Amino acid sequence: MRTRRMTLARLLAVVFVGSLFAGACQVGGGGEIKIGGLATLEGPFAVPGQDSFRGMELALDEFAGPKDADGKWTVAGKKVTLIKEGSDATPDVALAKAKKLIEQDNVDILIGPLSGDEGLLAIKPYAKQNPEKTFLNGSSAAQDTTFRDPAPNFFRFSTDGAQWQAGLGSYAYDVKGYRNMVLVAEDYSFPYTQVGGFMYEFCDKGGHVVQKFWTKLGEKDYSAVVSGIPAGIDAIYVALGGADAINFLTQYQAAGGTAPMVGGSITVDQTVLGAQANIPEDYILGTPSAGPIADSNDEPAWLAFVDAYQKAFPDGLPSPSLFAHAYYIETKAALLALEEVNGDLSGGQKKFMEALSKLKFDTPTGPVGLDANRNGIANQYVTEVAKKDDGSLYNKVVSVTQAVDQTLGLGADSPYLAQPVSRDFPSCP
Amino acid sequence: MKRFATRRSALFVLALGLIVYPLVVSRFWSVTIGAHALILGIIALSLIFLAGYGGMISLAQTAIAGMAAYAVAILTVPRLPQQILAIPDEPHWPAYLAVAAALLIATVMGALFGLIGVRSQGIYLLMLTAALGVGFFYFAEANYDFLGGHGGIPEVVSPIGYTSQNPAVFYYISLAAAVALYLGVRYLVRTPFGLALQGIRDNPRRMRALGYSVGLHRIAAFGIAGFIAGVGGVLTVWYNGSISPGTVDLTRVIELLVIAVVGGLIFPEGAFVGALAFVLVDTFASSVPAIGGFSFRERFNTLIGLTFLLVVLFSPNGLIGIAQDLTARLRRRRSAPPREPLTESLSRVGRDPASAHADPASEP
Repeated sequence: MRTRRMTLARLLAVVFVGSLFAGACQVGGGGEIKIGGLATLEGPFAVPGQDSFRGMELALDEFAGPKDADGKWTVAGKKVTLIKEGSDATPDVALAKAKKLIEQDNVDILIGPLSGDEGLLAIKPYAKQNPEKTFLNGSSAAQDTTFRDPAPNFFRFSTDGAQWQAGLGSYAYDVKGYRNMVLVAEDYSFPYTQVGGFMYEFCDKGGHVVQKFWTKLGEKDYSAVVSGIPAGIDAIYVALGGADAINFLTQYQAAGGTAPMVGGSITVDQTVLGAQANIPEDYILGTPSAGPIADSNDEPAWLAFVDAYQKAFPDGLPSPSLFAHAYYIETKAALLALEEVNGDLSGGQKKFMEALSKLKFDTPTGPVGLDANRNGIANQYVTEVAKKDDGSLYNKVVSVTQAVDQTLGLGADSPYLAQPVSRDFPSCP
Repeated sequence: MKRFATRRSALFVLALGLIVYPLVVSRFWSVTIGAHALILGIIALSLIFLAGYGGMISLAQTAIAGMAAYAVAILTVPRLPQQILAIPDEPHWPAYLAVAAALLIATVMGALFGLIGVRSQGIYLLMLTAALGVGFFYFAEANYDFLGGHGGIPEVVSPIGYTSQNPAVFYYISLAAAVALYLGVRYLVRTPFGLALQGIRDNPRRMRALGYSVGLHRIAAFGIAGFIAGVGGVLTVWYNGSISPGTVDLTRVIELLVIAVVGGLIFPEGAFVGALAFVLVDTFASSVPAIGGFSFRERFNTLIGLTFLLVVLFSPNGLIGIAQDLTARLRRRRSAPPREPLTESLSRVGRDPASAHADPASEP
């Protein structure tokens, strides 16, 4: 017994002294600017996470390039390094990785996270605890990350999930003529925000969302939802991510459902449009959806962005995803503001943050600027599924809503914004 | 006598080191590495207490820690999220009451899980507790009225404020809890209860014949383990500043098992050594430079898995086992002292915990 204890004490002492040394050997700051990138590299959003980092690197190459032999970029005469960390889309891991970037790697600027709950539960509170560092959003799109009780050093140029739906509610009501709808959406902050954005307009026009079905992220069995959808509705609003959307639509079709669909920003993507999804073409054709980007956008800025992406990442996606786009514009914003303050991050980064909040610049999807809560005001696209000459399906741009703010033009004192978006709010049964 | 003095001085150095540690390192090292490892170590300690002394491997300890964490969050958060509609007024209890309630809940739930699993052993108990643990994850994920669903409960601030702003204080709280629980476990296993528990581990049939209530001992052990995990859960929610189902999902359950096995499933110290090793690998795997296109940043789970595999293959008693082998070898070379009964008892109990504990053949 004695030997054992002694050994253990020694072992612990060695481990402990080892960690002390490791702690002492932290790298100093110097004249270099460090940017931390946080996206998801594990779990349900691993593929979007990889595309996010492509977006960051694209912006760095374009506005701080070219990369030197050490893998560093240059902005305002200062070297810029990018340190990447991956989470698994849970707030706990996002927080741990953010702490590592800020406290251990000593990054000056953190760009991320990718998903809604990570931003709302982990990064926003953590930003408040670190007022001397600058946090730029990645693609996280929950409303209250910026709308209520924002952190003064958190900036979101990539806009939120409600803004992404701008124009869709009106389009469903006015153009499609839908009056009574049900909705099927995943049960967490990002879909709440998307549903909110859709319903602000649709309810305001006089439409009714007679029933809401909230499903678990990654749900496989939608039979309870499918059998619960009432007869006599005009359409279903579906805010489900790729695989979830396919599962739901397949099961809905198999049960003989015919009500047409209106899609959220990540619902009607290539996984649903591709031939492998067992969903009849004439059901999908004409499905409207809305988002911050549109694949078929033919504006020169967007085409140039797609071209640069394809050249830089031959093994990337066929076209940059909305995640790559979001991280790209956040990184671009950081670099432009750094240029403006001449790389000066002294004094708790006050000058840099001020430059960021006044920054206005052009993105591949048009101009962007910030509101008083440091949330982006930008263009959003309404699209509709159409067929190309070669028979493949794509999202055709039907309208662009210019300069959408976080209230979707309702104003902050609108009754629709009196409460945070949730399962039960807004409501217009 | 000389050996005793060496041991004392080693312990003294260790204690001094642990106390001085947060004063000389950055907040990252004291909270995100130090306190985090201590907290994971506490939860792993509850697993090791059950496995090492009771012969029962429970995968529900993460869930029990999660219950305590949720309890603290619900009872103390001044502003519950909008989704929580079933609670008319925020309870907003003072922290000490909330912590007491959380620990009570964890103990009772631990005992209840023990009651459910009391007649199962080995792989069946493992599956049963895994089912309970994962069941709690799905419950938390689906319950919006009280637990806030997928988003959980945000902005749970500890009584000392944000933990990364009071790194040393939070580290000391975690250290105090860890030391108290560690010593508590060491003490408990020498009491008649602890000895009976180890007897049940080794031969439940004989213990039953001697008149011990095997079931009650097992349930009590689960209750105690629940309390330990509960302490870890309370510290977890303060450490993270929020609680969501991601804290109790299957990944976390498996991580805890990895920690316990890497540390050494039969030594209470192993919990903390394993937790420290895990936290270090988890944190710094992404800093390991890529080797020929194989980047550890995107594959850190592979790295953890490989470490796990190596440890299990070469030292079934984990890192503690490796250290013991090394020192034993050193000592033999130095003075070749008489082999103590310890080595024997270790080779009996330690080498292969699975067969030494609760041999199914000995059960009627």
